[in-house]
Amino acid sequence: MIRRFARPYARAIMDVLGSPEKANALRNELARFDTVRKASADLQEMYANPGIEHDSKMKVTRTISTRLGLSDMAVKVLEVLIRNHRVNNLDSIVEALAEMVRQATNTVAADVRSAHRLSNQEEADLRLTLEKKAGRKVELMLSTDADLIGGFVARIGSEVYDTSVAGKIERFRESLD
Amino acid sequence: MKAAVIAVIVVLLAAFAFGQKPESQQPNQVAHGAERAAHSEAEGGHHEESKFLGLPSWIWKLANMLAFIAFLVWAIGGPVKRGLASRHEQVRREAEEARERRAKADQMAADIQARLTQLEEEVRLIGERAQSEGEKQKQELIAAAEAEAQKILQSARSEVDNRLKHARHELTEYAGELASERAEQLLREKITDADRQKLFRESLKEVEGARS
Repeated sequence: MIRRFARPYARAIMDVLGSPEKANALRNELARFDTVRKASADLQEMYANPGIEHDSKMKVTRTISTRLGLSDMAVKVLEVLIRNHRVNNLDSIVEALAEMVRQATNTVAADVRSAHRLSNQEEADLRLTLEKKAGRKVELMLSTDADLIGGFVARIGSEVYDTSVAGKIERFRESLD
Repeated sequence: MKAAVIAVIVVLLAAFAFGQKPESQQPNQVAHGAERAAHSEAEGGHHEESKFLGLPSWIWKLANMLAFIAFLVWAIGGPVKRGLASRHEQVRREAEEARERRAKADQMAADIQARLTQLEEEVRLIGERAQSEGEKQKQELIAAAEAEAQKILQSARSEVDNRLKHARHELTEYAGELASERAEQLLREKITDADRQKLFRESLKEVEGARS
């Protein structure tokens, strides 16, 4: 869910970078950093602790950024967020930025859960198929769900395509009622 | 008036009788008034009839009696006549009223008789109508009972059908549930990567064919 404070940050990033493509690249960098932050409870606690000085937080952030290969722009954005005590809400800002990038590039997000990890070819085929259905470019947001047994469930906006085996079994059960 | 005439005749006849046989009377017979006095004088040895103004006393007695009778007729004749007329009129009126009452009673009796006859007819008609109504109600009750029986039968059949349908549905649902559970279990156990890839390709075709 995009929180209200996230949109001004996303708008500022879009304005500074000047193009959706650059904004999308920065979004991917920030998303990688956010994955690391979410995986570490200590890191989240450090950023949430007002007793730890800003310089110490930035030092840790730069170390992680170097290891992740983030750009200077990404580091500057993270510095602003740390100063404003918003770095722990990075996921919401990344999501707002992604929405703006999609609006700018006339792209729609497709949330896809598949029963197995898709190969590159399968992903390409899926993207092509969904773009035909949506009538515009599609940004795939992939995840794996073994409970589906086979097939996938794709959601584009309010449209849901459930071709999974689990879904078919469930529909069969419902048809018996 | 007739009574007065009869009374005068009777008195005259009595006076004549006394004048014709004064010596034949017995000493032990009962005598009254002038006759007793005359008898007393005869017993003294002389039998002489008393007179007044040259006329025998019996004539005066007779005249006296006639005058008394005339006075009576004059004094009470009018009221008696009016009383008799009034009584006659009352009797006539009562007779008339009695006739009228009789006529009314006869009319009432005739009416009662007619009413009785009518009542008998009405009773007969009521009886016939009651019988007819009873028969009609009997038929209606029988028809209603038959209809109710049909309805109950229909309802029972419907209930049986519904329960059968429900039982069939439950059985089907249970069998389907078992089948789907077993199928899911088998698929989870037996599915391979190749199957998943094949299913993915089929899913793509399915999405392509789906109407959005």
